[in-house]
Amino acid sequence: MKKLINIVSLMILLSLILSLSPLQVLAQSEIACESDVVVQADDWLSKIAEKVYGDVTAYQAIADATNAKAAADNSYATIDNVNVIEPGWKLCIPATGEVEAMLQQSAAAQAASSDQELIVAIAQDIGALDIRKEGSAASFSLLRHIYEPLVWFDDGMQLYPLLAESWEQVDDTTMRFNLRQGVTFHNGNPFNAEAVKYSLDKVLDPNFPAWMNFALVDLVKEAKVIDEYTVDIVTVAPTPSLLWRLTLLDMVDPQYAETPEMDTRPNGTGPYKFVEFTPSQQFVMERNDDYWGDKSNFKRVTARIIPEAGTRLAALLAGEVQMINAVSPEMLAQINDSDTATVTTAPTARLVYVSIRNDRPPLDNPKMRQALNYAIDKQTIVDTILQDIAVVAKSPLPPSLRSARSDLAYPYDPEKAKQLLTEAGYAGEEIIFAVGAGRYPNDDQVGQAIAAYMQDVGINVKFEQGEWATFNTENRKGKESPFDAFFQGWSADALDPVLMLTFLFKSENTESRTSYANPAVDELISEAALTNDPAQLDSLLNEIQGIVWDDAPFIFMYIPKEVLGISSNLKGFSARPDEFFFFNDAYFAQ
Amino acid sequence: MSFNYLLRRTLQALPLLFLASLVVFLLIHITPGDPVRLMLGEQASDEQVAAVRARMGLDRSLPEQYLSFIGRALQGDLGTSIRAARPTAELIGLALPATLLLTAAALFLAVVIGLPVGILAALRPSSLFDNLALFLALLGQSIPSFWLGLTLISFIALRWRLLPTSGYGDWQHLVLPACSLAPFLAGLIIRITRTSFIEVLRQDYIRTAYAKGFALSPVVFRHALRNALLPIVTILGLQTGALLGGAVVTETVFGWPGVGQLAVNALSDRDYPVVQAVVLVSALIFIGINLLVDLAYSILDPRIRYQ
Repeated sequence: MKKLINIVSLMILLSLILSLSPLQVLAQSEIACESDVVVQADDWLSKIAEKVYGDVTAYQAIADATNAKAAADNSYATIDNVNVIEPGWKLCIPATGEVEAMLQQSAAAQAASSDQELIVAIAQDIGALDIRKEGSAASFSLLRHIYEPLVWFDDGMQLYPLLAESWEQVDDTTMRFNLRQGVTFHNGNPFNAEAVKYSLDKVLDPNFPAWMNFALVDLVKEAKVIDEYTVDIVTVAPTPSLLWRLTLLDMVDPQYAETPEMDTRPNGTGPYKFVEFTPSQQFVMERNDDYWGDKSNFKRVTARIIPEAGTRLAALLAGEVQMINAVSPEMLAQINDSDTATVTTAPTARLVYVSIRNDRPPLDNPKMRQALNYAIDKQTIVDTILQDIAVVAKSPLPPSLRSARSDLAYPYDPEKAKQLLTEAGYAGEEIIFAVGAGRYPNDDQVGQAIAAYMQDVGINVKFEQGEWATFNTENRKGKESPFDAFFQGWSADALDPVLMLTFLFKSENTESRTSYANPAVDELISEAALTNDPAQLDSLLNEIQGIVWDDAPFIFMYIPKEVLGISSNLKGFSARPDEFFFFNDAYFAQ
Repeated sequence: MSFNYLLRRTLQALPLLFLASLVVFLLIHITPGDPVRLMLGEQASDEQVAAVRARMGLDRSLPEQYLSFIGRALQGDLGTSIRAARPTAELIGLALPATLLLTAAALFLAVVIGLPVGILAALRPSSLFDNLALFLALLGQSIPSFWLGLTLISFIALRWRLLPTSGYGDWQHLVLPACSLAPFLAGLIIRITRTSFIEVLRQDYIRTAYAKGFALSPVVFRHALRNALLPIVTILGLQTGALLGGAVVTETVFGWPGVGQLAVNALSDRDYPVVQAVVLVSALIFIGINLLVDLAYSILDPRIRYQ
């Protein structure tokens, strides 16, 4: 007995020691840079690749070489996301021979991945399997592998044709779409103009709970079937936004969509087919080998649902899953320390802000609201509480939107804030500031910090914290909201700046948030909504941003980053500003 | 246990079920937050939200909605989830086996460890073993299951790669969640068993047996055990009922798709039909378990007779 205990204790001791010893890191092979390139404004990786090698697809080779170099020499940039490079970054350009070798390697890896399965973990459960009803980013992303729209954004947010091969403006309010021919739904039914008309009509129907209804209902009048593969989409007035909005509209099979299976067995035209879904457990899809376009690499994709952040992280680090979403700031350090996992990030199209009741004295005075903006040290909040998973907002529009300005600022200046308070005649009235916690990472801490900064400049602030759904409902009462200021965010769906400005700052829509009303802004937004001329659109958007920034209906806080944890050997995949994820080009490096 | 008695107990249960469902119905409908608004998002127009609510019958008066729910429940229709667009019965049907499995595993572990330790401690009161047992029991009841779960994952699953981190599948997925849930129960069982056994051992009939020359023979032991088990069975019944409502924390940490997770998600989504159905089913299970406990009583103690 004693001997047994001794042996067991020895084994336990041994395993403890072994587990604590550090793993050996394999040495990286040396990459020689034929030349270095510094990124200029308006550069992107594939553009540089084309210039240097004459091959657009060589961008991955440049990214890999630069990252390898950056491990030893940090004058080189570290590229988290091949779609996000900044002017001034130094890139390593490997020799052409090496690039060819790298491209061959990656092609081989992609082929090898074709038998493999990708397993990912997401934080939130998926509800209905009807993509029109599921608005959460993760669910929508998964279903977007099964369903397709007419046009979409690639990982770099460039519009590209999908089920619509081409389109032309027939007149001011009519866009004609030439559909891809020979495409079928997974159940064999044909995709054609009838399907397009049906899909659009259903989303426009107010009785149907399609979350993207808001993006189309005020804009689109109807779809007209011209012939089997041609359809006209007619808008209510001339608009620059139609294509952007259409990226949210998925094509469904008119017959199948009326059956109850639509909620439980998805049927689309996309590169993956539905296999099975067990609520709160996992969602499985497999490659569609009859897909009309470039077939995906992975044979099978499984999304496991793991609501607890720590567990999700453990699954990634243990290699049980190769991608996780909803990465909080606290998880970043462990992922970056790991040899087997890394992060990919992208600034989102989401603005996090504090809405202010512009109709309540003393907040009806713009100087008060500007004071609030100067009073808060947003950069410190981003650096410390958010640990860089956000960037300070430099405009009401997030940076990935067309014409977003990046030169506007309210730097941290408590003296200026106090001065503005005096000028506004602030007499110590109580300001009730509330956070509905649980919606954004560390929103409770950010809210507390904001309240503290307000107090520092002499504002009599009452801070309240509660559950998101409850507080948000209360705040939506608008003029009767119990709060004077409320922490929240806005996601620019379809990356459409006109849509975002219309919803947030056009006076007819502002009551539930701010009751902000500036007739000049109203007029400019209306004009922008009807302008098809890109130069004029840019100029109008520019002007609107400037005015809104000065009027400060919000405290403009920050732009969160989309942060995904991935296995180090997962390539061809990066985080997207629209917060969706797409595995079509992904593969495992060997 | 006579048939009359069973019938009476069942009938007594009905008002209980009504009350439970009514209270929960009122509470969740009074709480601010609209499931349709949550589903469709901030940008959805008020018109669309109103239209969808009307189509789902959510704009009817509260009494009307409640009666409609009860009416259909009595016919076996537990409603349709707002978010998942599937019958709640289907969702519960998927979640319940997971919860049953976890509950059974945790109970098994807790009893297999707790019962013997509690009995041995009772047989050697104030000894080193007894003090150790009490300490462990206290530890088990004090350790937060959240922390325990994450620690188990961190060491056993991540560092030593002995078991998977999470999920629901084969027996390997069951080990860590059950080990995370069991300590609290084991601690409880140790303490109740020990106290109960000490009480019984002090009884006259046991001391008489000793006086007559019987040491703690198997016969005496069996008698003592039967009597000691009564309070233990009561506690176990209550705990099982609670666990079958879903060990929410453990389920969340391990991604275990049980009833607890289902209920909590439904609450956040304000998915009324799911919440109401889960409460009804949980109440039914609890009542059923109480009946089983009473049955166990009558088996353990022949003096107890139900009319």
